[in-house]
Amino acid sequence: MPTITLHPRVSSPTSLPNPLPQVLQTPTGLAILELQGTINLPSEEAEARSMVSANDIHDPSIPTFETPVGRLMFPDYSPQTAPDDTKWMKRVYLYVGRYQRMTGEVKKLVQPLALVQRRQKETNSDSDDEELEVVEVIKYKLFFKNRPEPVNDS
Amino acid sequence: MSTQTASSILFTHTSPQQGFKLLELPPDLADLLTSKEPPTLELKSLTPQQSMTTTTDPEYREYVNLCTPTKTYLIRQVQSSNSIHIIRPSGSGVQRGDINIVGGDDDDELDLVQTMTAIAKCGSTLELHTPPEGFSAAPILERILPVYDEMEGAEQNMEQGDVIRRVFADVPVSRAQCEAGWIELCAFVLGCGGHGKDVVGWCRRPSARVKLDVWRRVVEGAVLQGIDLDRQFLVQDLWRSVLDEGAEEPFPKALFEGVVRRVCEVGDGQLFEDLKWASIDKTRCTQWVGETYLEAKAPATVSGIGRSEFLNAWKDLLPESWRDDVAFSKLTENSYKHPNPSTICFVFRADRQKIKKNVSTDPSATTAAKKTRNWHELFKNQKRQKR
Repeated sequence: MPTITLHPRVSSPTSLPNPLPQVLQTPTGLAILELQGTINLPSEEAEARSMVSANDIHDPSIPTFETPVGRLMFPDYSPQTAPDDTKWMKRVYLYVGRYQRMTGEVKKLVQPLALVQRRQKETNSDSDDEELEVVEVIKYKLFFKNRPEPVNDS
Repeated sequence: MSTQTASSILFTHTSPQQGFKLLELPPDLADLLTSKEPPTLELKSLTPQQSMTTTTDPEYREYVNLCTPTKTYLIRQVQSSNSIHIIRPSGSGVQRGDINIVGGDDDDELDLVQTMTAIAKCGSTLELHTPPEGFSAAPILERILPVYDEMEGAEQNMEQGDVIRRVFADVPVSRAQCEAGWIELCAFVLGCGGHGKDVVGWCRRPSARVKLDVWRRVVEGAVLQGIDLDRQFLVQDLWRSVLDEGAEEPFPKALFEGVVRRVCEVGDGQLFEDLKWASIDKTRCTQWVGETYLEAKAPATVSGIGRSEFLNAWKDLLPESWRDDVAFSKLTENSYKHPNPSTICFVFRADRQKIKKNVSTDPSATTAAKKTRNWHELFKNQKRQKR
């Protein structure tokens, strides 16, 4: 089929509290984290976990498992920071494991990014045309362009 | 440690991961998508058959366009060397690995009540581009629609709008641009194609000769029935004036309507409405009549016609009061050329771009340049362009 429909954003706000600073928050809670390099997961763990059928309360159809990677920290940010004060955006930490830390920043995107996803098929719909939807429009990203540096675990 | 005052957010990786695409939004599209009532967009590409028959032409290689109701963007996938993760807040009811690997043994330091988790990774983004020449449905429709050059029986027993919409589904530009292209070509639904799925086969685009015939009868009919083409008129009256008393239709009514739409003031979405009242756009009409005449009578350099002969014929095809408006400047730029100082001929759309780029349209010259191994010959055209 040469035409695929791309539906606009349908607001389905997240019920979960969003721990990110205000500027990174979106109605759906989705955000973007860009880093140089990749996150390597212990493969046997990921495989083993994918077999586990857990009762996930958020998406009952797919059992999910979370592997802790590290911690995110906004050292210069506090919820009391004035909205027009952007100095805190210059410094964000991403701890990976215990002993590595990446320093990054919050960056405004030159062009906003739309997150596009395949639309969940309605069970009673008989058409098999693929449909896409814009789930979120994102204007800021977390960007870690530096290598990780070793840190003391204290 | 300064970081102790700031709270830490646990960062995890969710498996299985989800599939996402990142689409870069130009400002106008971002505004559109974040507006109160964002429109539904479409991703359009040529059908596999269409792209197969045209694979030799690099211009029509496989591609996907993103279309808003009125605009078209070309999608280009750009790989990123960075990994882009999509993250979202996570609740407490999730099965999670040992968090001790990320923090100290001492739990007080780590306020890990809150969690962000990576649910997808993207290695590329989709960029949107608008080529400087823009998008038009006319060249695509010109390619896919069969030509109507002689009387064919029409059989209007189907919903025309529906047929047209199905044709547009295979034309990779926005709806508004499809409609404009359809009107530009005076395309119409003939509707005698049987019950196959080939909707394109039910439609026609008239040849220049046919368009000219239709227009001539329209003008004659208007004169006979005293319809003033300068003012608003009832399309049904005009159609009656075209029909000979009791005689058969000289051409399908849908073709007649296609020509009327071409010369009238067009509004968005008008294509799917019944024509009732119409008023002719004088500038549009004059230009179209001149170009159609030229295309019908002088389609190539060798068949060029005299300039004054052309101007007179052009005047004769217009309502009496418009005769003085005729001038070469009324024609679209690059739509004509002068093979020699006293003659004029038509330049087809595909060749206009070349003229603009100052590339020779003479096929023998390009093939000669391709055959030669002389670099001066090979790059002559490009050099000229730069200057």
